[in-house]
Amino acid sequence: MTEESTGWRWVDPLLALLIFAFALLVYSLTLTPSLSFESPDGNELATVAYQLGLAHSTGYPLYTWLGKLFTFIPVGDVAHRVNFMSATLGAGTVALLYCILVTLTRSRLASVFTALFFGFSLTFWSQTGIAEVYAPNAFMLTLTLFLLVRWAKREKEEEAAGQRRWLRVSLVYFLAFSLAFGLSLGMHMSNLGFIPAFVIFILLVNWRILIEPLKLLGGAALFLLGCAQFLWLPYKAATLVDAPMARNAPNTLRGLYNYTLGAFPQMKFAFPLWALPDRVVVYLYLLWQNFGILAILLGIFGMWEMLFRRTRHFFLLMTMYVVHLIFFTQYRVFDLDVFFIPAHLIYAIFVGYGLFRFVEYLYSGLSRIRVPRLALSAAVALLLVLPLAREVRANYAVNDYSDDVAINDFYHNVFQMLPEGSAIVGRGGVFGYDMFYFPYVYDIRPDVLMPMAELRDRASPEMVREAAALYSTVRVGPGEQRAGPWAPPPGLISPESWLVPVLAGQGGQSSFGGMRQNLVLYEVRDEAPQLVVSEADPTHEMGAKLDGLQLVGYDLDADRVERGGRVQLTVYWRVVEGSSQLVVTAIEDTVLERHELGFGNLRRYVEEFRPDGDAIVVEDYYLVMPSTLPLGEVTLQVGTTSPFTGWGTEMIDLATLKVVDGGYFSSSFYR
Amino acid sequence: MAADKGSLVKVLIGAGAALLMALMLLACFSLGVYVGHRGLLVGTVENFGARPAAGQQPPQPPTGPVEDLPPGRPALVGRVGAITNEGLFIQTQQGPRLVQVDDDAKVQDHRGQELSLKDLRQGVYVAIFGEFTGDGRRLVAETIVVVPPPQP
Repeated sequence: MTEESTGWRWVDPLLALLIFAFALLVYSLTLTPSLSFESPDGNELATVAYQLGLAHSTGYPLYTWLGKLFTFIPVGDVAHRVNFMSATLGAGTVALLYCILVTLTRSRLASVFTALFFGFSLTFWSQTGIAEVYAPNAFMLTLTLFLLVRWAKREKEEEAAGQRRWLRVSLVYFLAFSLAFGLSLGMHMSNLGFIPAFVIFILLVNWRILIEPLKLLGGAALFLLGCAQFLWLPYKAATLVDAPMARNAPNTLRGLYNYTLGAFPQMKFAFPLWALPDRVVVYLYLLWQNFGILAILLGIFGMWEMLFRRTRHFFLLMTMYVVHLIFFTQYRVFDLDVFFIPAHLIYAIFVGYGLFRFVEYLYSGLSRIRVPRLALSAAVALLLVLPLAREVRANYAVNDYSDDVAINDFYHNVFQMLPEGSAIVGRGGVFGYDMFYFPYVYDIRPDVLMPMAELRDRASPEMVREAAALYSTVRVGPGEQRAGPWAPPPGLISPESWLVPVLAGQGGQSSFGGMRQNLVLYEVRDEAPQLVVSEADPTHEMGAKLDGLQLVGYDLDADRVERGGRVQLTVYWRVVEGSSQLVVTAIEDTVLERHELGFGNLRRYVEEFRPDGDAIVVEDYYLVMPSTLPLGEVTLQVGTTSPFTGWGTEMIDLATLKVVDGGYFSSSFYR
Repeated sequence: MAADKGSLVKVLIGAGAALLMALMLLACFSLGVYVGHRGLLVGTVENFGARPAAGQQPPQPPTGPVEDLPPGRPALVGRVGAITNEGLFIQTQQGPRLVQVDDDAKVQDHRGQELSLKDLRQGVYVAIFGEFTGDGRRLVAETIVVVPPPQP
């Protein structure tokens, strides 16, 4: 029996379904419950999907529409549902990858293993737990590839059977492929680069398509129909709140070009030719991270085998792969790894094919010594389970976002604390949606002015000044302008103002900072806070020394706290000797937040007020209790840690808190 | 017709083999250039979690007053995974992150002592202070602080 003559069997859709269910189960276990800083764009994408608005360049219309459909699923809040779209379409990618592989190899063993191996690889898995475009894009890409590969197979079968009817299954596959490809651009515009690969493959399979107007024009029409989704951009251009995006608003032809094909020109082909070796090594490094050396070698073997045995498919996949590599090795971006997911997906197909051929060689070699094929299959399956299990175990912890509730916990408390008619300033544009999500999706605190969330020019500095009180989640002033183009515009907050911390959320939870930022709510005041006092009378006196600081004592407003609620903590410090250490608060050795002593105000305070050398620094603020805390008694700790990294932490137990259920996730907060 | 088809397949296989060979050569050449510039084993033992060699002092945590450090929190903290001419790949818990490093970037250790870009090695832990420029998707390092590795 040859590879080509074997068709699908009933077991293949069943296996694909099982793979889908298993991947979805694991992805659901590691899913982010709501908003997250894991993706720079995820909070915006979730909000825009709910609003049916316009996302940042390149617009992502299909993502927006599909995301909207997922927001109707009655589980969790809106952000959770859009995160769930990544999990679902990620699982769909794995299932479709199996279908492609089994079409190419007819080896269920190699196909199942490779699909799961890719599904639980480091980078792809990381994108299935957050609202981002990469897992959905991988789904559209595998769907497009699957339809194309099935078309080629049917085309050959129909040609061999001499079918001449105008309506054939192959035509349906071809039209579906064309539509899927057009639609996929609404997930990621870079898919356009696959056109040469698709054209070469189609011509290699059946060049007569050039003289079949029905197929050719039908395919082109459906591709254009898929591309027509980008009419969404001018239709929604007026809804943009992101100043850098609004500068290229897609409401003219030039604007539409700048927003889509012409977007991010500074990132594309950003490296000179002499930097090519370095860029290739960077890619190899990412490939090694995801697949390991054995799978890389298997992939190379698969490429050679496919070249001789499935030449057309080799050219399809290799052209896609090379084009993708040329484009993204020259792409200058902070989080480069996710952009290579399509390349990893294609490489996984080579790995699968290599594995299939390797096992075939093994079978034929061992058949001479009459080892039963079933026993061999069982042995190979057992051998393959081991690396897969190791991969899942290693990557689970890295990609488990299920306890990432910091943003929601923080803003739940922020919106409870803000006085009537106040204003709050934060980051703008794409990165401001951790805050905008709440008014845009749940209409929370409509009385609060959020100038960065308002449509262009609708919130002026005068309006902010008229607010009952002004708050900020970002520090502004000398040395603090690190937020890039999304920092609050000058004039909203006077550089002379004092930013007094009133609430600290969970931040810097992991050892590695990444994009995670401190979640602190500051009250903007004209007068300086009482940051340093000559004498203090804390309720609980301590006297312990931590690095260069002496913990004089503390006050705590409660010994009972709701999950996701807050406690008011006042800590009195004496600076014994100069120290760069950060102050840390923790629960049961899990760090809640880290901050500079005085939350960035101490240096200015000392310069302006010249307090005595042995004076006491007072930090008075509310501390957010994570909604993932266990019920019952927990120990609140305070301490110091090394600057930047949070390593070398010294902690002291402060008080025992009784944690009770708060459950704001299911309360009227998200009505 | 069948002969034409056979010839086409041969041409395709030849072209494909040439393409594969070119890719392999490019990969080997790039690896060779990289290793030639930066060495094969420099820093890689730390990368694989090996203990310091006998007699080698592990980096100590910072002590005493620290002056002349950048204000605020770093944009990124992690382990140097790969060093390229254009910047650093920093291994973070969120995945590898590319940081653009220009010639005017300042490098120092956690005590404020000045270092140079050449002192950066694979496996070293660094805190990056810098700005997300332009579109906000590129981190350009202003100051790179070499920090002690995490304590077990």
